[in-house]
Amino acid sequence: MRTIRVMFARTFGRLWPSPTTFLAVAGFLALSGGFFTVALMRGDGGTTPVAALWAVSAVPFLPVLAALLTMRLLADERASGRIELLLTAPVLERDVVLGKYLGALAMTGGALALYLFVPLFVLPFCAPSLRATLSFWAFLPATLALLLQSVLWCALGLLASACYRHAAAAAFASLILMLALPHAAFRAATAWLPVLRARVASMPLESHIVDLATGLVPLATLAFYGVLTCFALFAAAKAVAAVRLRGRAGRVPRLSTGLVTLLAFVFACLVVAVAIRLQISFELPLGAGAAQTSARTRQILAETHGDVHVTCFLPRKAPEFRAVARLLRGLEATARSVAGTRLSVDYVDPRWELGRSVALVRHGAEEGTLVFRRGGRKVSVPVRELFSGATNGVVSVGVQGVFSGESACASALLQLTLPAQRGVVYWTVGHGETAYDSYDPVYGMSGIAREMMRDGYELRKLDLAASPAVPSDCAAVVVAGAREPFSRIESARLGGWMREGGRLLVLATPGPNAGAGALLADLGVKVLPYTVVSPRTQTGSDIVARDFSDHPVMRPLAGGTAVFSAPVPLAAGPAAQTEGTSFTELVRSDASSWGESEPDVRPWLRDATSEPAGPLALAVALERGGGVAKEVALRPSRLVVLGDAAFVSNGARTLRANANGDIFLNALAWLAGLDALTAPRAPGNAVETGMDRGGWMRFGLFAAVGLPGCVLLLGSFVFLRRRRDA
Amino acid sequence: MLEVQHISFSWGRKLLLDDVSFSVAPGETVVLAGENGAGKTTLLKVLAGLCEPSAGQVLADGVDTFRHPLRFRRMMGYLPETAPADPDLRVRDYLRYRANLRGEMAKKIRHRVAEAMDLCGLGEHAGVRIGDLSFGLRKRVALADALLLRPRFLLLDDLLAGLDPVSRLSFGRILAAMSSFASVVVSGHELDELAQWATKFCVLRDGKLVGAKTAAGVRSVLGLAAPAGEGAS
Repeated sequence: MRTIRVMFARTFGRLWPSPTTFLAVAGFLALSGGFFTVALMRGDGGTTPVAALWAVSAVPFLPVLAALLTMRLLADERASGRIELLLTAPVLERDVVLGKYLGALAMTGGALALYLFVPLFVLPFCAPSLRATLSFWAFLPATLALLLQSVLWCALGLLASACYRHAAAAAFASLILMLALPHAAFRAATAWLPVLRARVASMPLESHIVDLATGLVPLATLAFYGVLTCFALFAAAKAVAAVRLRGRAGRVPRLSTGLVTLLAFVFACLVVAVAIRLQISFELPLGAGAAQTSARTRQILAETHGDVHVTCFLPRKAPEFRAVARLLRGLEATARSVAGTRLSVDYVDPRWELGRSVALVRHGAEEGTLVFRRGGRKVSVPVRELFSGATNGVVSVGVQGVFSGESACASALLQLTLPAQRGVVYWTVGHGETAYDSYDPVYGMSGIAREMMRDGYELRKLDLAASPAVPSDCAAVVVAGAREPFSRIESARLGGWMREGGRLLVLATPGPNAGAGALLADLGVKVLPYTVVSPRTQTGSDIVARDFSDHPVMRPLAGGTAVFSAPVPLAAGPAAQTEGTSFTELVRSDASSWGESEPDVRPWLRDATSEPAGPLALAVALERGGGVAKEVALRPSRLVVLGDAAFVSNGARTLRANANGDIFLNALAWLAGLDALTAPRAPGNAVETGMDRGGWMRFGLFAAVGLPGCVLLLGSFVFLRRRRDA
Repeated sequence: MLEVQHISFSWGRKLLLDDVSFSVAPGETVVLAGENGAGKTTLLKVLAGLCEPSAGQVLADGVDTFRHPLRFRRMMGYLPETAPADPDLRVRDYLRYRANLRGEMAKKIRHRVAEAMDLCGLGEHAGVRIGDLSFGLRKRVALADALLLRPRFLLLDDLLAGLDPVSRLSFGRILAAMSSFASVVVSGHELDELAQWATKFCVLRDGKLVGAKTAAGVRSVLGLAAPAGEGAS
């Protein structure tokens, strides 16, 4: 123990003032910080936790750091002959190796602690909306995961250092051991061993980190790192001891040492294989448990009773598999915690479980689907629908993808419990509206239409000019960004239907008479002739609104964010003042915004005499006959107007982390009288940085330049001080 | 008592040491002499436990050094030919580190280090980094390291090589002081200086031990001419 302590102190003392150490740590911080910024930028709005993004960003650079820190530890001793002094001291080779190893590991841990500074101190400063989620405890599993990998990398680095006399050769060998060899072995193994191909979906080194960072701790992962670390240290101690085995007499001991090392490696592999075979894993309470699912999912799982069985009919090698498996684990944990339905999950790999696959196919399931069963009812959800980026045919998976599978699974559970049909929503056409079957990745509405159908609505087109009246089975009418004004006859038909208890949802376009503007004015909502702008966002025309009213549509979304692009302000018209009418401003812009009358003329400056100051209403709800209707059994008419024609377009929903989709669907559920559907569906762990371009620049600069710069400054100070002292 | 019994060592097919036997009693200083490549350094490495002999054994106070290496290493001080030391450490820190590593009790370390530095004349260089020292001073540091815990067996490889006459003289004095309580084996080519403190000479030729008792005997064995001064006297 004493030797270990002395060697640890010596190694740490040797590494600490070394310029190589400062350069290696600064490089590690710069690269990891840069990658973290990019990963966070891409993951903004996704459900991959910040901790996982943070940890995965460091994975490629950790081996390089470990190699640079360990390369000199034993190679220099050999090159300078100091190894002879070590070996003539009354110490065990094992203790020398362990002491040096712990010194290098402590230095790597120090670098990780500095890297932890980025999400714990810099990120909350740049993204205040994330502050609540950025606690030390949330990052503990990710930090331990990186530390676990460092444990192995440092041991392999030390092994390489023990085998070479030149530090550069040792570093090169370390990198081959840590980076090239695992990747080559993975490629070769998956190419030649079909069994492995089916079982291992992606390069394990990254997936280990994501699993551990999200709270899943597989025994196989612990065994892999633990056993291989022990083996590497054992081999390093043997390599040091082999210095004595020179000459002819050492031939047999050298051979036996090599054989023992080989046997130790085989034993280590066997232990890892057994651990993989056992498939034992446990969840950390910080991980993918109930806390990560949305309020809506928890509500649905709590209100559902009986057994629900989910079959994941997906190959394990599919890139989506890990994300889906994590989601299902989270749902299982949530179901247990809310004590509602009993949810069970099983996985069927179509490549290996042929019998069960055939049975599933016979029952109508396709490969790559999640099959939800409850009693005799069954709902299938294609896995590609769990990813938001699927609209343009490219499924974006992995840590950088936007994964919104929880909402789809919750809808599937809802379909198993609620009546099969929840009404027909009519979508007006003929006035330049965006069609619900438009798959344009930016301007189309196919994404929100799919969500609506998943929630049980049937969508139909409505040409008011051709139809004598609004069909009687209509639950609600949607006017999605009509640019051409409605004709008088169309307005009359829609207005008449509204007076008889109709339900209308309008995505308003600029201009008081554009689209259904005239009808809205009749109903009590004025579309003001301005465009809302705000100095708080980079573009000025993008309005990030957080001021939500206390209304059934908005209540569950309190604390969320809605993003409007060049919205029109809305106000109550004279008709809204009549008795029995309630007018509510659902979403308001910030106080620094105003209604710009000439949005095409830059720069935007407010004319206080003619332009209204913020906050301005960006979304309003109007109910007529609500109080009376309950008593006389009449259906109240309801109207929701959102001041942005592209509020729920595919581009708006996938590019930003916002509650736009929730607001739209909640409004629709309120209009259709299905208040049970209005709980927020955005997962609780969705990453919403809320950072604008300036914020990203500041964050990136500090993470990739500022912190490494500080380390280099400190290194220069230490170096100069040493030179001065010398 | 250090007993070397029938030690043989071969490197590949070449026999570097062939049945070497001798003993060193406490207070004795044995000088290993011989031509370059005769096997002096190899023999010292075998004695220090850095090379495994193909035959024979080394007994330190009756204990087989290869069976109980840690026990022997606690009683042994070794000075390698190149006198390596950590260049980034100061002399005092280096000696403290070495004393710590060699298991000296914490409360005695300070005293031991001061004693070794005094003995080797390193007092004024205590705060200097080893990398900044000359070769002679580095050799003093390595010698101080070897003497640090007052070893009972002292193995010094090429002790006087690369040193100026004054340093040689002071090294000789140190050697004399140490030989009062230790069994010393020292190798080198400086027969005249070493002869002043040697109690016994062992001459190695092609790995074999050739007996000789004095410097003159060594010279005659090695076929060397006597120095001019000695001839005149």
